[in-house]
Amino acid sequence: MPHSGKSTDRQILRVACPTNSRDFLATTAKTTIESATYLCPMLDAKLTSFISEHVILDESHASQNIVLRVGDHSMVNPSVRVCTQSAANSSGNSDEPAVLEIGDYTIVSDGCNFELTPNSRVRIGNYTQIDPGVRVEPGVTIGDFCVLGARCVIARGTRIGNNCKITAGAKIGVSVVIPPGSVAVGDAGEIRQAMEDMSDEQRTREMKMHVDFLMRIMPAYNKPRQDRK
Amino acid sequence: MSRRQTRGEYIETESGNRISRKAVILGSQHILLGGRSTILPDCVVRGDLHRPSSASASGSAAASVNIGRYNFLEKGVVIRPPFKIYKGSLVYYPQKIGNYVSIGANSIIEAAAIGSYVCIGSNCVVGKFAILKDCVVVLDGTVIPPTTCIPPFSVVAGNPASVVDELPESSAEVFERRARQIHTLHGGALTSTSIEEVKQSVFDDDVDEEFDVA
Repeated sequence: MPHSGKSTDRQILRVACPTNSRDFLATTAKTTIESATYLCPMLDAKLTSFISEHVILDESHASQNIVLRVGDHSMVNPSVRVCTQSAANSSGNSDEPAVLEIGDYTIVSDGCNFELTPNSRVRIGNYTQIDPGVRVEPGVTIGDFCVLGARCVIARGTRIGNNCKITAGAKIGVSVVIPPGSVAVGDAGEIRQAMEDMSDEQRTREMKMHVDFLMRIMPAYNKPRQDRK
Repeated sequence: MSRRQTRGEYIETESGNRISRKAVILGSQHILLGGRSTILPDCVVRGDLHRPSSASASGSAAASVNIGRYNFLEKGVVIRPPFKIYKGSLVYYPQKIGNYVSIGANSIIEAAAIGSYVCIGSNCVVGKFAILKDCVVVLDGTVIPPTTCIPPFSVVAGNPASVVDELPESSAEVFERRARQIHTLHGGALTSTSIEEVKQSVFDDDVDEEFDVA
């Protein structure tokens, strides 16, 4: 099942929920450790997390391998697309994988698009909720306890602090630093200081509740299809 | 276009629903589709997000997503029931979409209810627990905030959405005819049935009433 070697074809990796994909994770991990390079689109996920079957890791730009690293109890919902951009400096950094790191208890909702380049990784913090349709460009760091509203666009190089809330449809510009605890609103992505509406513990509890709920329900509907490749 | 290609693209049900094979439909037992609705590729319909306590007397759980007739979901639409943290527990609420609704590409619908004869543009966001009444036009790129109520016969645009225009009272008929035409054209382009059959089915009003899903 894991594809080895570099290929210019589009490789779509369909993954199943962790309880059924133990073998799959084992084989990819083994490949990585032994050969010390990433040979295939790799999924580095804890067994407590859940990656839906319909997640697409798209390596259509050749020689860039994708690593999706998911923390504990995180959820990646269907139709999330992780793809690589052709790097502006295509000096053939083919060994360096493009990494998308997702923290613990984080929920990435349907239809999100992540773009990666080899030298910059996208890092998403813990207890963060990413609503449907968000588009994240390379090199973005998203902090903990954040809420990214639906269909927002985070341009490259942005750093989003902890406890931030980005409203739906907001467009955050290139290399913006959003200070912790602020709210980014609207098309221009203007940043305002937010009032303290929820403490960290409360948000932690909420996210845990949400993830537990989804964990109970989603495996029933996300069975891996062995018949269809 | 070989016959084999067109047959594989869409699943066609008895009541005339056309669901693309590339659409991601989760929890299909919790999704109710009225007749003659079309779902294009890359759509995501989350029927799996339902109330946990719905294993009640109705056997298999009640519908968490209820989509009416002659709907048209374009590519990349995400339909997702809204959720709320209510009294310390997280509940997903059922979602109802009316008849003759067309939803543009890449829109995200988390609304509690959408009425009939609604046209939603592309790249829209309909927030959680929003209620769209009948005969509403949502222009492209609109963001409707959570728990908003959009009155009937209005045109909304902007982020956050505001009513920019009003629609005449004949809009219901116009949208209904439009939805039927879209269904016909879409079917004619894809399936290999003859054009006459397709035209016949559009005017078959008796057939519609059979599929009034409760």
